Amino acid sequence: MHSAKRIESSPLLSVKDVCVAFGGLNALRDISFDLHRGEILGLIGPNGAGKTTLFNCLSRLYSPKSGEIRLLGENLLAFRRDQIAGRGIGRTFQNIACFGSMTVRQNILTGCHSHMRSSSLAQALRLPSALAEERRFREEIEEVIEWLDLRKDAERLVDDLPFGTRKRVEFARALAMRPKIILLDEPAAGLNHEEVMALGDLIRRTRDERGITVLLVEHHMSLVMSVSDRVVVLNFGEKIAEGAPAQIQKDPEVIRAYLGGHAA
Amino acid sequence: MALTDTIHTQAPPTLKAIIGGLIAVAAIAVPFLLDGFQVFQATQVLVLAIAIMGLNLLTGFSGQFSLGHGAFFAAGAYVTAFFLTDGSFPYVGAVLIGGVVCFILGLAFGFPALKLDGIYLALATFSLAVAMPQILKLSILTEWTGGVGGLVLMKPEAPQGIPLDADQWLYFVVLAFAAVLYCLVTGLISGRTGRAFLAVKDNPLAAEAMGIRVTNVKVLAFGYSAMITGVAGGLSALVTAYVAPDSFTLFLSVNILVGLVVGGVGFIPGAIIGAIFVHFMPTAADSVYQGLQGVIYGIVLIAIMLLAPKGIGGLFRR
Repeated sequence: MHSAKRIESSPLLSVKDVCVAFGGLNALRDISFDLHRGEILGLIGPNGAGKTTLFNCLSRLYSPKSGEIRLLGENLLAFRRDQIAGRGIGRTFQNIACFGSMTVRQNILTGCHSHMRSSSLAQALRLPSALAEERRFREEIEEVIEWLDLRKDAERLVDDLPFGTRKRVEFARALAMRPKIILLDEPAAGLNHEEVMALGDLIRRTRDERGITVLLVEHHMSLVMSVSDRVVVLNFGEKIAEGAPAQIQKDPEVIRAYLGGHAA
Repeated sequence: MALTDTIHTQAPPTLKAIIGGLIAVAAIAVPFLLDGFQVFQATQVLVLAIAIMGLNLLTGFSGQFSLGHGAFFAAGAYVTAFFLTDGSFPYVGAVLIGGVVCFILGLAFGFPALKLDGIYLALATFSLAVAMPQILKLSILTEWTGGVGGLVLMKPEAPQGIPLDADQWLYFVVLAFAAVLYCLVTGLISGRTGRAFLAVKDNPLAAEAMGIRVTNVKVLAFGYSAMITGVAGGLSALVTAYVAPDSFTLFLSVNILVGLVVGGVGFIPGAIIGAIFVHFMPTAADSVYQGLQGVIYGIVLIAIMLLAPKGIGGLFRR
């Protein structure tokens, strides 16, 4: 348990007393939790609980009214949206946000954007340095393409692909960002039972094989409970519970939140 | 969305090389097979194709509309003409300066354009095109623009020892510019910046999450696009040896846009097809039935949109 204790002392991502207000409405109140290296953390809550709001704070779409978000001690709120990728946070979107007019391979390569350095002028002039960089990243993403079984669709336009494949493309694109943390916004939405099972497997493999820490925001209860190491529960903008899945499933407050305010 | 769909090059490399070689041979043979006036026309088509290529980079890749590219064309033409009125300045240099000036103008216009999306941006650029001829006629600018009368410049001659007349020589000058710009543009769009352009067009929010600074990318696209169209303007000044405000009306901007759509939005080689259409279609329509050429032009245009929604260039792709 010594090592576990050491991890506890330095969270990869720490959310502290985050408050978000829209007009007079408090969307989030004093939310705090830590995300540790190599962990799969599930973030759940009924509709309108503030999951997406919190998610959008992490990707800098919203700025909290107060509180702080730190990645390895660095203040995340000091960065612009487009700088988040470079800090090591990759993400997927609730309603797939692939680049439809690009091929699968181009989509995944776009994930490498923040790691590439060559200027537009160098690319226009086809300078050897720009071509070499392009080649290097094309080779790098081949592994991701293989890992997500996208080889046969690599040259197809994303718009021509079925829903499930597009989800994999988006996942691959997020992996190509070489993230320390991957944020998954309701990845199970629109998937059938088998696909959800496969997704759970994929999330676990992402952590186990690639060492990426996962923050999973999800409605799908059995998925969250089966893959998460820990679960944070939000309700009406407040954190009502945090703990291991087994613990959460028995928590009276959580049960009340999910079954309606008057039960129990 | 059909208008901004990007067409991808799918032809195998060897086939591409053969087609490219044939086009190169044909392009070089043109001035020796055609008479003087036809060579002049071919040169004008190439100039227009360059202008369309500039707009394609903006609309087909970064997804921003412009109904005012004629204004950048005009700016490039005037800057070039300004440097060549006394005939001592190297003309290639004058065209390049025109391009640089338009790059800066494009960036300058790109910033306010960030606030405008789709149809509103089209309207803002439209007003630029409407304003341009009047700005060029302003009396306080007459010293540089020549006012209503415009500027006359020296038509470049072939260097000593090269047995080409002025029209043939200019054709090759413009062809060289077109070829170099084509290489630069295709280089740009096949790499990191090209993907950033497309990402911004397809989904700005996701683009930002990938680390793409959307505002910079959009402004940069405006700059490069205006630069290419400005170079085309500069070349047009060389070709006609004369610039005047009324050569750069709104109609020019519309022609560039029509050429883009006919050639295929997002398909770079389509520019030449679009340019041929825009240059020859009015005369062709006129020869079919005088007095109804506008109607015929319109019908052909609609037919193209129906039969080839991705432009004629789109037919050569899947």
